[in-house]
Amino acid sequence: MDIDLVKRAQRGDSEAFTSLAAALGDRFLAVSNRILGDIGLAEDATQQALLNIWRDLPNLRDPARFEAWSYRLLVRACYAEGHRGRLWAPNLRLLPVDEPMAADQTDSVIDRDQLDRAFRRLTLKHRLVLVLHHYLDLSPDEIADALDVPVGTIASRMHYALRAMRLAIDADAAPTPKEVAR
Amino acid sequence: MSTENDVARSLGSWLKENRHEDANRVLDVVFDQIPATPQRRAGWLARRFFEMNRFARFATVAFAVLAIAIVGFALARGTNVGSPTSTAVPTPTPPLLNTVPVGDLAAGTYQIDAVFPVRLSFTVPTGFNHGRGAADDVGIDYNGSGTARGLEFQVASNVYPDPCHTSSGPASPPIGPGVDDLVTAMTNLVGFQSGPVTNVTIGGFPAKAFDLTNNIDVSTCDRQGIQPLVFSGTSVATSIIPGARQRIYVMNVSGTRLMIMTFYFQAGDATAEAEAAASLKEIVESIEIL
Repeated sequence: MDIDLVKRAQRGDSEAFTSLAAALGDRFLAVSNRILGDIGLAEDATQQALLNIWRDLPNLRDPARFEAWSYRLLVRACYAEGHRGRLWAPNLRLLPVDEPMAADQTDSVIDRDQLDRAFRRLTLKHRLVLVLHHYLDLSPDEIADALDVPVGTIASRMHYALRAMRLAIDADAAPTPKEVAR
Repeated sequence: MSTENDVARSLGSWLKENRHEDANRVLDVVFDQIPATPQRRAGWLARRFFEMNRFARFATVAFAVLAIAIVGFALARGTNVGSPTSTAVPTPTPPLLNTVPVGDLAAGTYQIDAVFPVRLSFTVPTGFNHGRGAADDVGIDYNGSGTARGLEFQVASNVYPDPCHTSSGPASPPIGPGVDDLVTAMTNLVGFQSGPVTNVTIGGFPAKAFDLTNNIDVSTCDRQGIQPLVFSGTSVATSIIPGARQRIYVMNVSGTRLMIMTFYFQAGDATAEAEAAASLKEIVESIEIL
């Protein structure tokens, strides 16, 4: 990220901010779409995060930390949208446990639908660390910095998030009682 | 069945699939709103405070403390004007739930449902979260402030004697079915340091308790994970996080060998670690076998 652009935007240069926002926009939308699982909520979160960045930028003490700081604002916006979304989209997380058996349980490659269902069952906090780590390739230290939480907390969330996904995928692949009887 | 490594690998590829997100529409809205969105400037109060001389700073602080004391004193006395003095409302007793729900757990008492072979209840404070349980592994973890921590109820059938190098296989012959068999195996895991085994009582049942720590460099492990336990049910593996401090309890509940694993992370702060350990101990002490 161009530090000079950050410094100019901090001083109220809207053209500099336009360049920063254009560089961040697609990535922010992609991250929030993966965390929230809903493109409408993701657009709202991205919009709110970018406006908050513009508004609070003068208070950023170290322009070199702009990227981590901007992710923190995006994460907050995702939390806000996620909780708002839950009010009218409860099925975002609550999917039926008894799904049909997967075509081939011995196949180690997990199909997209299984991943999608399992991922949607995770809590927002768990989805968030997985996206930051497996999509943005941030290290646990960088995630801890971006979220302003201890690195141990990130390690714990990643551990439990993966475990929860694995359990959900295994439950998904398990035969339903009807299929066992067949 | 999948392992956590399978999930991590597949998840990375799936998340990186191109989903054709285009932020142009969002950016148009943002750019339209910028002229009407004033920036927040850094607080003048903080700067002015440090620019003051020492006497002025002292006077400011003294005035603030005095003002808070006066207001606090007035509130504590109560005015008795206009409305009756408020009385403390007792916190309602948390309900005993049928199952451990998925997601953030409100403070209260929870019961593990029939999927798990041992029926038990336990009480958690706020800040804990539950994913999904399996027939042999149910866990809660802590998302609140302070040191990360968690607790798992597990029914393991065997162990990997070298949990970092699981390709060398599980114990062969498998460990015996008794409490002592599992305790002996767990206190002799390669790369772990164990504390003394003590006798305790959990929910009225005798149990063995001991501490485990490890400083394993996970990057040297076969599958980038530390996996001490083998399950015979639906759980394939459970990972231990490097550097975690574990307190483990093993007990026999009507023929089922139950292991309760509590853990927290080394925070480098003795007070925070003691708080985490105490809160986990409190949960264990609340366990009732149903």
